[in-house]
Amino acid sequence: MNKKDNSILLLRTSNDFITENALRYCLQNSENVICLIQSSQFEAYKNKYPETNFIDSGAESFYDLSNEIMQKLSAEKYSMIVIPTTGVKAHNFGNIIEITRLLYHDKLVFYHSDNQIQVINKMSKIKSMLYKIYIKIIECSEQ
Amino acid sequence: MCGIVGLIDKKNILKPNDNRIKKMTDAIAHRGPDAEGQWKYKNVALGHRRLSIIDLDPRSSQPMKSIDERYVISFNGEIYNYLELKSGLIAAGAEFRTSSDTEVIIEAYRHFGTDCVKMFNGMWAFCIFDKEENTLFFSRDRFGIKPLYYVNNDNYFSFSSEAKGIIAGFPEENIPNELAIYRYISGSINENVDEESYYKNIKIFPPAHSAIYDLSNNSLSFMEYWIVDEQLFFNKWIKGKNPITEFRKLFDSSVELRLRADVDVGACLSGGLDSSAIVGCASSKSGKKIHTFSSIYEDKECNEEEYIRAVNEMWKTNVHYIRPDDEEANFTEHIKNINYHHDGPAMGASLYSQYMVMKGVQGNVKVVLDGQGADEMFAGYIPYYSHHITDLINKGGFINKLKAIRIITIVNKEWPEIIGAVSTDQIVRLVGEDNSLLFQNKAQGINVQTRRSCPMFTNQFMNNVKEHFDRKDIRCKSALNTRLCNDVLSKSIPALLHNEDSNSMAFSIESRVPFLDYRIVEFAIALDGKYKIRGHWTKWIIRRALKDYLPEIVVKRKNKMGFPAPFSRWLRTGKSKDNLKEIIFSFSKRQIVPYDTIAFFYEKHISGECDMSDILFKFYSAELWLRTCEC
Repeated sequence: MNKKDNSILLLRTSNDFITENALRYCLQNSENVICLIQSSQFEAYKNKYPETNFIDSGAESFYDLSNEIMQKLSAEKYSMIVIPTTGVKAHNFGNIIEITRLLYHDKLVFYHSDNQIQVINKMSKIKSMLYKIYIKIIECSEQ
Repeated sequence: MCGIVGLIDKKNILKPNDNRIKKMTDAIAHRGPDAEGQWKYKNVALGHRRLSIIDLDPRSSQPMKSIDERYVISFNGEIYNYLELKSGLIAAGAEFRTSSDTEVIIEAYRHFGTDCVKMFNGMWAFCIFDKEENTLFFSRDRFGIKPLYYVNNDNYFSFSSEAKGIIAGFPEENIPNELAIYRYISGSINENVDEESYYKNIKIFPPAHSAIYDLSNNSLSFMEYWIVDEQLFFNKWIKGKNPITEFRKLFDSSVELRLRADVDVGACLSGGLDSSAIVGCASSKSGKKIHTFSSIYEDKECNEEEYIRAVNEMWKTNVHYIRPDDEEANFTEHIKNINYHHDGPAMGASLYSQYMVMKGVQGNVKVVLDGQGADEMFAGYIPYYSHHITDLINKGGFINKLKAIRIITIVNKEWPEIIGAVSTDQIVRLVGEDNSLLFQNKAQGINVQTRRSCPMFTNQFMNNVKEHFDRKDIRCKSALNTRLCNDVLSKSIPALLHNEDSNSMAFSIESRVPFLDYRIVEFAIALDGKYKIRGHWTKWIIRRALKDYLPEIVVKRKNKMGFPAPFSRWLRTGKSKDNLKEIIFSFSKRQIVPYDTIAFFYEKHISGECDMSDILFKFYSAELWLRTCEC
């Protein structure tokens, strides 16, 4: 896809060092990068990266985002949502998935602290439902 | 096991009668109460504190000169295969006047040069002065079991087994390192292990490295003498062999070698698979009733007495139970001592248990065996399931995917309280975003949410911290082995070994770690993941290969506690809760973490809404350590 045609959403879910590496990765892939950022960091990032569209999360975490912010985020269709992680894996990112599952996107990209990238394509509804049934069967059979 | 110090006066500006080296040696006296020594030649000085374990005679005291006085060594550690090396060296013409392993190192260096360390099986940090070459040769063991710190500036080069040894000689080096404090509080200290110590200019000498200091031009050059080669390790330890019987052979040999001592050897016993297997093997090989040391807590979730008792009964050991609860009133004093011995803030409250166990060992035996390393090499922790699942998905095919879904579902059912340890990205990859929400633990989620609800650091502090992540991750064929290998070589094990050495040496105890015999590590790096995680069994090969050393209740044990400490309860209802609160809130005055963040975490914990004891402990311990630095 052309750099101009796609939008990327970056969530600031790690420290500055890794987030900024992930931001550079996003800018290589798109001219329209939107970044959801904690209130305390909003001004600093806005000044440092004037070309990027930053959205203030209104808090220090990405839990219980307001309807207004969710509406802003939902206004775009994203080719990818990029999630930086402080470690080499993303532990306890359930709250982030609660957000991403409500947004239109083709892929999730986990950007790890060792600069390794995990790309996950959006799963089809049918496949997801079949897996859910399988999980429930295992849960029952292991009792 | 001992303590070493040394200095090189590069510009000959230190006073000739300077007693710096004596001060440095005294600062680490706890590492070796049996003897001390200093040696000086021109602008070089070495110091040593001795804990006599092998060849108790004073002739083996250090710094030790070679027969021809060409070499002088200051050595901390044990070379377990010294008898085999000695036979070879005698055959090659070497002469010995002691029965120590120290002299074997000198003669091995004379005969094989810097490559001698490749032949050593053990733990070490040493310095050899070579009068003829006008050089000093330094080396540290493959995994960093024995510590070594150094400072290298325009005026001097100085080294010591503990940072405090350097500071005793050079008080100007007592400068806290803000980057290390940042890593400590943020919990990333195990993710970014490099040469940074808690002191700004004092560096950690890297494990598996040697170095030559050339006195003629004051140059220091490092060389890595052991590297990971998965294929070579496979050919050496696994190809054409039965991995289960091979592992058993290596484990038995490792424990046997680590029973070599001219004093009694005991064992720390947590009741887990690893320490229990060591107790079984050591009892069986030594033919003696060995001393075991275990901490016992009142709290059900911390109490492992059932398992410990079963092991002690099976091997008819000399049992020593340590009850850290009895010392709760002195908790702050103990943590201050731990910080002092660790040259930095204690990593977690569980260290208190290990420290108290070592205190209990003192006066009973001089040497203990411990199970460090097995969890990291053979996948004993739940987070390793993330990597196991990755490997199954990467293998491709629908069946492997279904296998992975089955495993994650069982893990979620067995250990719902720690399912967050399995990484979200792998769960999403496996079952999709919607289904991933089935694998979330609400109670743990509240802890994480609380922690992420406030800024962790003040902007003022962060302006001083220069983050740099110089990651040198090793890549293995599988995701599981990649993670395990990096945990052993550069992440959790270096940190855990630092704890092990500091806590044991605080009481002049030598701790030996049989699972970190380099042959077992090489074997584990090359071992297929199916021998490590099988269904809902972690450390499968240990359960299988060492089962006759273990009571059945331990073989089938799934829960894991390690050395816990009930800090969480003490914060809420303990006798010392007011004292703990005062110290935690004092930390806010440092302008590292905002007051509001500390107050928020504290209130959430006290109200019982969530458990913030791990991060509150870090504020508490960091405050105590920073106070010590100011003294």
